[in-house]
Amino acid sequence: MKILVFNCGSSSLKFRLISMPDETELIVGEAQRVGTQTTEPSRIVYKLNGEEQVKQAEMPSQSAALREVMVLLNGIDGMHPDAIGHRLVHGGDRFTEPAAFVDAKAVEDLEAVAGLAPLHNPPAINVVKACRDAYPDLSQFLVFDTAYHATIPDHASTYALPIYLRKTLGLRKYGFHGTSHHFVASEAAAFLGKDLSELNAVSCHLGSGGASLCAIVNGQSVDNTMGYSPLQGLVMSTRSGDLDPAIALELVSREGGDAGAVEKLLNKKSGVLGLSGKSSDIRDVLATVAEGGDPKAQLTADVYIRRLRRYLGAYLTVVGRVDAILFTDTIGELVPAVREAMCRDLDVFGIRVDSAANESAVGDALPGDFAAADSAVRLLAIRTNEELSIARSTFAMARQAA
Amino acid sequence: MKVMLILPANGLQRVLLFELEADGSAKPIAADAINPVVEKVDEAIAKCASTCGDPDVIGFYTPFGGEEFRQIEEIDEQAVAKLENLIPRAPLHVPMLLRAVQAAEKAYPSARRVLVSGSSFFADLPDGERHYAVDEDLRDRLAIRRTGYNGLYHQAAARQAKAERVLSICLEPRPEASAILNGQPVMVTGGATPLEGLPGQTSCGEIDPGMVLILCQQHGLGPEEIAQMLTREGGLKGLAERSTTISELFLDDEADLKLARELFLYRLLQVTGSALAAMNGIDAIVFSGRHARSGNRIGAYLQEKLRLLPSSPSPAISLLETPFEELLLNEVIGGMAAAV
Repeated sequence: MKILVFNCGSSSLKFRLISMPDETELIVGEAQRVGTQTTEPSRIVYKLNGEEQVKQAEMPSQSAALREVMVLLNGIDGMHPDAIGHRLVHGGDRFTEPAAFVDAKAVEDLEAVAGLAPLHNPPAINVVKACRDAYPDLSQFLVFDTAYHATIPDHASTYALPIYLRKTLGLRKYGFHGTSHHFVASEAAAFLGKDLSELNAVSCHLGSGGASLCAIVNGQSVDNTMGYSPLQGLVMSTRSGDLDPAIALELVSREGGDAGAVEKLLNKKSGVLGLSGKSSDIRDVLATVAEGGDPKAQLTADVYIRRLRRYLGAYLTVVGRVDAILFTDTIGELVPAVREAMCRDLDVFGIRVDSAANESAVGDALPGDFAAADSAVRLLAIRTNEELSIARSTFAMARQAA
Repeated sequence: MKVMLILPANGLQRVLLFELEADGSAKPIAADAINPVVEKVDEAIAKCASTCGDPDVIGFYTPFGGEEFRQIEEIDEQAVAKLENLIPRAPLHVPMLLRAVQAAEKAYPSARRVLVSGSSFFADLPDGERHYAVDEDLRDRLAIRRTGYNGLYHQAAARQAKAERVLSICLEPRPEASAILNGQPVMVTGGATPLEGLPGQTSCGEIDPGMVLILCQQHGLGPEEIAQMLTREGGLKGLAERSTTISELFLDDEADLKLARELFLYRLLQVTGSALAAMNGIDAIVFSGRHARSGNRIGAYLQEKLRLLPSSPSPAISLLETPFEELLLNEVIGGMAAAV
């Protein structure tokens, strides 16, 4: 079965056609410069049979981009999709299964959750609806970043707030990066020769943008460092992560009530960028620290690593009997220095790092285990693949329906 | 020597008077009229002045102090100016403290006046712990930094434990935990204000800061309304949907407190894990504060969880039940001895 995965950005539509169950990637591409606000012409770039190709096409909207991509695929032999998996960010409590079939009820539920991620959900929802209109016979499924965390228990997903905020306004922890955490957990289980349902782990999705840790018991998410929104938790490239709520309120007052300005400040101008004053990339900061002489770079590294260790320690203790710590996405896969700083001096958790193995566990060498032989906990660096994760979840549901 | 203590309690001010004996012990000058819980501190002080004679030393206490008050200090003009800088972060508490200082100065002009700060213990928190991931303007100009507020309890807990790696859990209505390595705090759950960290009896503790912004933007709530919900309607009260205390959670077994109990324990378990990471182990856990007794049950829970870890840490659990006034008195007397 050929599964087409869509990943919608604000001005792009990424797509990947994957043959299942063999997991062969048939075509990978992206519709770029989608939307009328761009001055450069929009186009589709794609890789087919190892060759990069470009197709010019006018795409003033995501719906237009969808049409052009489908036309392209249907025009190439053997690239016609059998089912579609759409990636969406926030499914609230309406979407809790690994993949949801798109029927009339699902569309209703989509409208209901549109506002939960006001920048990300609406464009993706438009693509889903356009796809359904144009191809009513093509089975479509929705995979949400939040769905893997539907298993987080109440005592972890509840905030200590009055009932009005908790129930009427629905303020609770949702957690994000679910498709990634789910994927690396599955890969880790396979690597360790276990069933996913037997895996206990702490998964660290450390991306160049967002980042979160996930506590996993019996293959299921039991906690995530992000919250109702992606702002909570770790120090990220431009996001503050945790902040005293009284200070958040103080900042709104200072901005004359403009919460939007504070949201921008905490989401775009804080984190590694805010601390260093120079770069949002922790690799740049670590390079500066190695050179020495820049106190801000040192402070940035200290705060960044300490926050990671705070949550790592918390989740290792919550999970108890941990099989492995998983490291994934840009920083998790490519920056041994961060992994080493996170895992050093944690003998109390039975963690021992093999430094040489850590240095070589990057890029194409992954998946790799960089724990020392006598470590009680494996340390696995695993390449994430959200599109494949979506294809797996979609295929699991689509083959049942077929 | 007579020592007067003036300390905040439940939005009011308590005034206590002690007589220091020759052997170093302190006798409370027990007369209800002299140790009143009153609304106007200047009235209380005036009442004291008329009945029991002048104190030699007056010790004031504030949980705050930022990084300005690193240890016990004489309250001179500089100290008053530093206190005034703290008003924006503590708009009710600090002005009340300053009024008490003025009243005491007027009533006992020749007494020594000293200030003990609950944050002093945290003056040297490591930078990585102290700072939030915000830009320089917020870090420095707005002095948005983490500190703790229950330093007297944590300091006493570390002394009692006599261990290298101590987790001090102060069970006050706004609880606070601190990881203390060789007598120095390396981690604390308090934040730039006492609201952050563990959930309290009515305070929310750590939440997603994005939700505060969403409440402003999407639900049109004003800052006072939000502050009220976070500080007075949240915490255990918000979870239980009724007023309750930490002691009620752990000394009784009320079914309707199940969510509050489980959430509180879960947060403490996470804090314990963070402390384990910060110190690579824990040798002792000490519970203090008004609800210290709940530490027996909480300690048992934590011990059970810690046994599951590869190294099976088994920290000694103890309670620090010294009343706060005694901790404060010892601090004031100690400060006097050091100054002499």
